[in-house]
Amino acid sequence: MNDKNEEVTIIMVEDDEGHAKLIEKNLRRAGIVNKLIHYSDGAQAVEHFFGKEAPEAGPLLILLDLNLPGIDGYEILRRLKTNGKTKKIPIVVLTTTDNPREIEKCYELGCNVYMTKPVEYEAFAESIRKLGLLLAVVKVPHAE
Amino acid sequence: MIRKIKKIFQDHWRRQSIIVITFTCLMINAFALTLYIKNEEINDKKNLVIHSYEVLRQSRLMLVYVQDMEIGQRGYFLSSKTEFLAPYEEARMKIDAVILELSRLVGDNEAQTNRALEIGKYISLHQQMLDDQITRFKTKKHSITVRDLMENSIMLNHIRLKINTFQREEKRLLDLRQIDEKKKRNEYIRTIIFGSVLAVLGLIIANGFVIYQAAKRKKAELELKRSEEIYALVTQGINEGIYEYNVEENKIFYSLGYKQMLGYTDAEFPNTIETFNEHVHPEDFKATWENINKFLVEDELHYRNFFRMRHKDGSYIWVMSRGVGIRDNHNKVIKLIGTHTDITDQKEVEEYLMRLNTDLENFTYITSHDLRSPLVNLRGFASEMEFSLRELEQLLKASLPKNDIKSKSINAIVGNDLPEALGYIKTSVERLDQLTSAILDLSRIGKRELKPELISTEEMVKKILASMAYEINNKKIEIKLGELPEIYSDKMSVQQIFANIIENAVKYLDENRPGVISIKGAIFPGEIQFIIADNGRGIEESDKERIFDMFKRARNVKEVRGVGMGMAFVRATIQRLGGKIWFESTLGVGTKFIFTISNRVRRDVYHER
Repeated sequence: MNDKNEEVTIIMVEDDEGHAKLIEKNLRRAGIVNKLIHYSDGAQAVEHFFGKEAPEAGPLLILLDLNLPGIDGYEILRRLKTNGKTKKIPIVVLTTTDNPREIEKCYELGCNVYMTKPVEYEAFAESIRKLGLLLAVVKVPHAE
Repeated sequence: MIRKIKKIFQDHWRRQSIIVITFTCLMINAFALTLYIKNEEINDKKNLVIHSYEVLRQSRLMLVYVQDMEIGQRGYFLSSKTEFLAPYEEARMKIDAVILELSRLVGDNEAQTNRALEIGKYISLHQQMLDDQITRFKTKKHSITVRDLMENSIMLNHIRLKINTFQREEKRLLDLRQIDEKKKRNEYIRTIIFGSVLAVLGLIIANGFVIYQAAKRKKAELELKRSEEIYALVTQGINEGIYEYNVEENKIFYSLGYKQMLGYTDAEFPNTIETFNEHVHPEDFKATWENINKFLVEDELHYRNFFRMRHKDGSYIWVMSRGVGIRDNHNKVIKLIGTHTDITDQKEVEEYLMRLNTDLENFTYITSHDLRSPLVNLRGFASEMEFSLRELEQLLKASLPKNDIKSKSINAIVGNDLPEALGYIKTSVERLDQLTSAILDLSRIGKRELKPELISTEEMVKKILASMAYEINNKKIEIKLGELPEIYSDKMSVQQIFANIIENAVKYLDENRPGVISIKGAIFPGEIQFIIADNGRGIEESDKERIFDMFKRARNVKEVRGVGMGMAFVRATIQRLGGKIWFESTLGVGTKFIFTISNRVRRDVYHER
C-alpha cells in the first residue's frame, strides 16, 4: 500500500450493522488500515457530504449499499455524481442485489464499481478481500 | 315507375301471386272469347234458318203470282171485261222482281240456283203463252180454245211441280239448319256450364294460392322479425354495436347499438368519421389508426383493435373492435364491417389482475431480496464463530489441565457441540439462499423482455452437454442426438429450458444400469416439438401431478440435491414462449419430457408491458 492511499478515508454507507461489521473485518484482514467511517442510513451520509459541517479534507472512497431506509442508495449515488464537488469521488456499490437492470441503473447514475454480496461466506470474504486488494492499488483523486 | 315494377317482380312472393292471378284472368278472358265465338256461330246458323224461311216465302209468293196471272187471264176470257186483267197485270209486274230476289237468295247453292233459274224460265214461257193468248183474244174473241186453256193448266202444273221440288229441297235444308242451330245452342250451353265451373275453380285456386302465399309470407315475415328482434336483443345484451366503414368514399355507418354503447341517441352521433375520431381517447388515437391502416394494406383476414372511447357522460369505455374486410378484384379493402364490444369490465379485471401480478412479482422480488441481507449475516457470523471457536479450542488446549472432567466437558462443547450447531445453521442458510434465489429467478421470468432470434438448438444442446461433460463421462452416460431444428425464439429462455430438463435427466438416472439420454426435435405447423427421453428411475404415479409445482420434489430423489424449482421454472418459461410441456414416465423404466415452442414469439407476449 502506497503512502497516498493510506490517507484515503473510506466512507461506508450500510444500514445492516452485521454487514458493516463483516465488511470491515474482511477489509482489515486484507490489510486495509485506512480510516473507515460508517453511516447506517442515507440521511447521515447526505449530511456528511452536503451538510453545514465542512466535509473532511483529503481523498475519499465510498462503499455504498443500495437498499437503505429513507434516502436510498440510488438517490445518494445520483446526488453525489451530479454535484461538481463530489462527482469525482469513486463509488463502489456493494449490495445484495444482482438484478441486471439495477446494475445497469447504477452504472448509468455513475457508480464506478458494482459488487454483490454473496450469501456464501467464503465467497463473500473473497470478494471483500479482492476489493481490499483493489483499494490498495487504485489511485483516488484528492478532494477539492 | 319501372324500377318500382322491377322491385315488385324481384319479390318472389309477389311474382308468384301476379303470375297466378294473370293466368286466371287470361283463362276467364279465353272463356268469354269462346262464348262470343259460339254465339256468333249460333247467329250464323240462325241467319241461315231465316234465310231458308225467306227463300220459302219468296217461292210461295212466286206461285201465288203465277196463279194470280192465270186466274186474271181466265176471268178476262170469260167476261171479256178488261178490269179482270188488273190482277194479271199486277202479278206480271211483280213476278220478275220475285224471280230476281229468289235467284239472289239461293246464289250460294248451285242446285237451288239451277232450279230457280229453270222455274224462272218456265214462268217466262208461261207468261209468253198467256200474253199471246190475250193478244189473240183482243183481235178475235173465239180464237181462244179449250186446248189453249188446257195447255195453260199443264204449264201451270209444271211450274207448281218445279216450285214444289224447289221448296222441298229448301225445306230439307231448313231442317238441317235447324238441327245445326240446335246443336250449336246445346254446345253453347254446355260451354257456359263447363266454362263457368272452370272459371269458378280457377278463381278459387288462385285465391287460395294468394291467401296461402300471403300466410306463408306473413309467417316468414314474423320469423324474420323475430330473428331481427333476437339479433337486436343479443347485440344489445352483449354490448355490441355494428359499423360499416366505406374506405373508398370515407363514409361510415354506426348502428343504434354502437351509439347507445356510448350513451347517444341515433341523431346525437352523426354517421361520420369525424364523430369516431372525436370520441377515441387521445392517447389511443394514433395506435388505433395505425392498426386500422395496417389492416387496410396487409393481407389479413380479420381486423382486431382495442381502444378507449369517450362516453356521453365523459367517462371512457374500453372497446374491442372486430371486423372483416370486403375486398375488390385487386384484393384491396373497400369496406370494413365489424362490431364494437364494450370490454370495460374485462379490461378492469385485466388491469386489476395485472396490478395484482405486478404487486406479487414485486413482493416476491423484494421479500426474497430482503431475506438475503439477514442470510449474509447468519452465514457470515456463523463462519466468524467457527474461526473464533477454532482459536478458542487452541487456547483451551494450551491452558486447560488434561484428564480433568470439566476440561473434557469443555472440550466436548467447543470441539463437537458448537461446530455441529454451526454446521446446521450453515446448511440451513445455504438452503434458504437457494430457495430465495429460485423464487427470484421465477419472479424474473415475467419481467425479462423476450428477444426473439434464430437459434440453432443443436449447437445449444451440444454446449449444454459440454458444460456437464464431467458428470456425463463419470457416469458413462450415452447421449443420442436426433435432428434438432432451428427455431425463432428467445435464446436465453430456450437455453434455460434445455439446461433444466437435461440436468434433471442426468441427475435422476438409475444407478443400476448405464444411462441413455436421447434428445430430438420435430417441426410441426407453427411450432417445434422437442423430446428429451431418459432411462432413469422414472416418476412415481403419485408424484406425477406435482412435478411442475413450486418447491415440490419427487420422493425417490432424496439423495440428489435440489430445491424443486426447476420444472416450475421450465413450465413458466415455456408458457411464456407460447408452448406446452408434458411428460410420460414409467417407474423404473424412464421418463420422456415433451415440450413445444411456438416458432415465433407470440405477439401479445412480445408486446407485453
